Order: sequence, then structure tokens, then C-alpha cells
Amino acid sequence: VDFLYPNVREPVIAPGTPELKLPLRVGIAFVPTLGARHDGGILTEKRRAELLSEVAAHFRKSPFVRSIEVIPSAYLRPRGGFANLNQLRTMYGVDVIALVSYDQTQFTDQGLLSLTYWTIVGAYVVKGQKNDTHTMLDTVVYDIASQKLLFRAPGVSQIKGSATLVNQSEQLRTDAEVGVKQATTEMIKNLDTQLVEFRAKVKERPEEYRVVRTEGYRGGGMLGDVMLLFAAALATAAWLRRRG
Amino acid sequence: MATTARMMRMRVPICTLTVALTAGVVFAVPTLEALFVYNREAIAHGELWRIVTGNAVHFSAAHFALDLAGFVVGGILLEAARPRVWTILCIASAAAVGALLYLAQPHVIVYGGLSGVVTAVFIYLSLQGATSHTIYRWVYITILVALFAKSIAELVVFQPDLMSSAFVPLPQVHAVGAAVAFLVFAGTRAPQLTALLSSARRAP
Repeated sequence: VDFLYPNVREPVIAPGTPELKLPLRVGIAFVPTLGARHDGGILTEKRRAELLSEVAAHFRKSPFVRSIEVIPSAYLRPRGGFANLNQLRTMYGVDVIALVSYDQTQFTDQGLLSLTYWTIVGAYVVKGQKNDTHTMLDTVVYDIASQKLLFRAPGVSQIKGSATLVNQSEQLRTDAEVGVKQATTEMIKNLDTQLVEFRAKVKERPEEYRVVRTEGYRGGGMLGDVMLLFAAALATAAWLRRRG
Repeated sequence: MATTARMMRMRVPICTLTVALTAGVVFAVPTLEALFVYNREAIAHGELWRIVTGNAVHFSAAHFALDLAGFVVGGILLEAARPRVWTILCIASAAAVGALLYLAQPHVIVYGGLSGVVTAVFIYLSLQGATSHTIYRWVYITILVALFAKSIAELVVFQPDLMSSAFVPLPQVHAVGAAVAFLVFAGTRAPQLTALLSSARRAP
């Protein structure tokens, strides 16, 4: 929210009707944050790149995606908003952007027992106990030109604290790593579901999504199931004739 | 002995199996796909073989399976009966599909698929059966009429599902295949075609 709508707590969004030029050219990037993270350095640049590649691979499986560009974090400014995304659109030639955001909190302080994540669809409140680890990964997919949210795939992990005073820092670090893995797995699962649902949504609601072909496209000559019936009919007729 | 003699007389459909195997290898090896696929820009730069070889390229497992199933059945039936016609028909329909795309479909940058050739084979087999003097003649006439109805319906009402396919299906290539089959049949069996058209005119 902070990246797309800086300085607005609860944005009122009035997107236009997206014109989806199929197959889509998609960009994928991590949302930059202001200031230092409190994640203990779990999600390093290398891990982020691996995560983006994994998400990109799931987009590539979709027949309506022509290409997917992994965009380095350096090209996104904190609070860059749609102005920043429009620059990426020109620079990388992408129409749609998948923004991955990440947040992790460990309740090491007895006094702090709830936390609010601000996601693009509203507040997500987490209640915790001491030494709990909460991780949230979120992929939001936007049509840049119309600023319309196409779909969203969150992944959440909650790990109950089992650390003692003796092994607290080591256990918290392990929990942080496991939290990222669990949240990633859940997000990827949701992403697959959302990609299928998005495909159905676009077909069912033509008034909400304008679908057009790109200027130059890939064509194919494909037989339908009916042609296999014709094949069977021809083979049967030939066999009957041969039998006399 | 009799079985062995019958098997000896059976022709192995070498050409059909060769084309099917080639399509399989092209589907499995991406570098070959890049070399064979119909690519408008490459053709404009002199790579003319792509006009014909593009027919052997497929973009998904379902695309490959459906086209190959149809081609193997139709190809074996035609090659067993008329091997020379098989050669003429396959080359002519493949070239006609590529040529039509190049001349009349400038938006199609890349193309692959054997369905135009398969349609040509099916139409030819139906025409051949429909002009025969057997009791199964009406079965072939029914198949022929249904094939034409399907091809026309595809051209008139077909709406491609752009979200579900890795490519835009082009029903025009089926119409091209059908037209080529008619021309080849007219060229090789003109009297039979004239008789079929006369009987169609006499039908109530």
C-alpha cells in the first residue's frame, strides 16, 4: 500500500477498465521498503531473486502469458507509486506487474501482542504471544495502464514460539527461516489458484476486462475433438469396405 | 500361411510414420522447432522451407496429440490406398496453408500445426468413398457434408478463447486444406467428381 499509494492511509481507488493485450507481457518485482527491515536478514537479495524466479515460473505456465521479466529491486523507488510502474512499463515493455511484498515479525517483546499488516485489500491483524513468528508474503498483480488490481495471492505463516532464554536467538532465526518457507509455499499455491480463477473471471466478465490480441501473434492449426470422431468414422468405414 | 501372405501384401505407411516421427522430434527438441516453425520474418529473409515445415510444429501437448492422432489415422488410410496422392496432397496442402498465411494473414507472425493437412486428407478420403460404388457410399457422403458444415461453422461463428490457449487457433487453415483436397481430387479423379456433383444436384 505504501509503495502504490504513498501518504494515503486508506486509498480510494477508482481504476479504469483494463485492456489486456494477449498474450500478456508481465513484469515481476519486490516492493521496496523505507528504512531497515526487522527480519534478521533472512530474505537476502539472493533469496529474493530465487523467490521471484519461482513466482515467474508459475506465471510462465499460463497460456495467456507471453513473457515475464524479473525486474531488479534497484529499478523501484520506495513510495514510487504508479509513476514508477509506468517508467518500468516503458523500460521493460510490460503491461502487467506482479509486486511481491514481504513482512515478518517476531514477538520478542512481552508487551507487543498484536500487529497490523496493511495489505492492498485492507488491514490484516495478527495476534501473537511471546516468541511467535509471523510471516506474510503477498503478490499483487496490477494492470499498469488502468491501475486495476487483477488478482492477489497472499501467503501467511504463524509459528508458535518454543524458544527458551538459552536458545532464544538461534530458535528465532530458525523460526524466521521456516516462516519464510511456509509463507512462500502457501503464496505459490494461492498464486496457481488465482491464475486459474483470473482466466475464468476474464472470460465471464467481458464488461470488466477488454481482451484484445497483440498486433503480431502466434497462430495454430489445431484439430478439435470432433475431428477425432471423423477420424474414427473414416477408419470404421474403411474397415467395413475392406471386409466387403 | 494365409495370414503371413496377407501381412506381406500390406503396405507399411512409411511416409505417414516419417512425418509423424518428424513432428514428434520437432516437438521434443526446441532447437528444431525454431528451425522448422513458420516465422513470417524469417520467410521474408529467404527461409522459404518454413512455409511447408511450419505444419510439423506444435505448441502444446494437446495441440500435438490431437493433430497427430488425426494425421496418423487419415495418413495411414490414404497412403495404403493411394500413396502417390498422399504425397501430392500433403505437400500441396502444407504449402497452401503456409502461402495463405504469408499472403493473407500478416498479423500471424508465427504458426504451427498439422490440422490443415489433416483436413485435406479427411476431405480427400471422404470424396473418394463418396464416389465409390459400395453400400458405404452414403456413410462417406455424410462425413463429407459434416466436414464441410464444420469448416464453414468454424469460419463464421468461431470465437477463439485467447485466455486458454498458447496460440490463436486459425480455422482458416482447415478451409484451405478442404479446398486443396477438392482440387487434387478434381485433378486425379475428375469423372468421379463430376458424377458426385451431378448426383448431388439430382438429390431432392
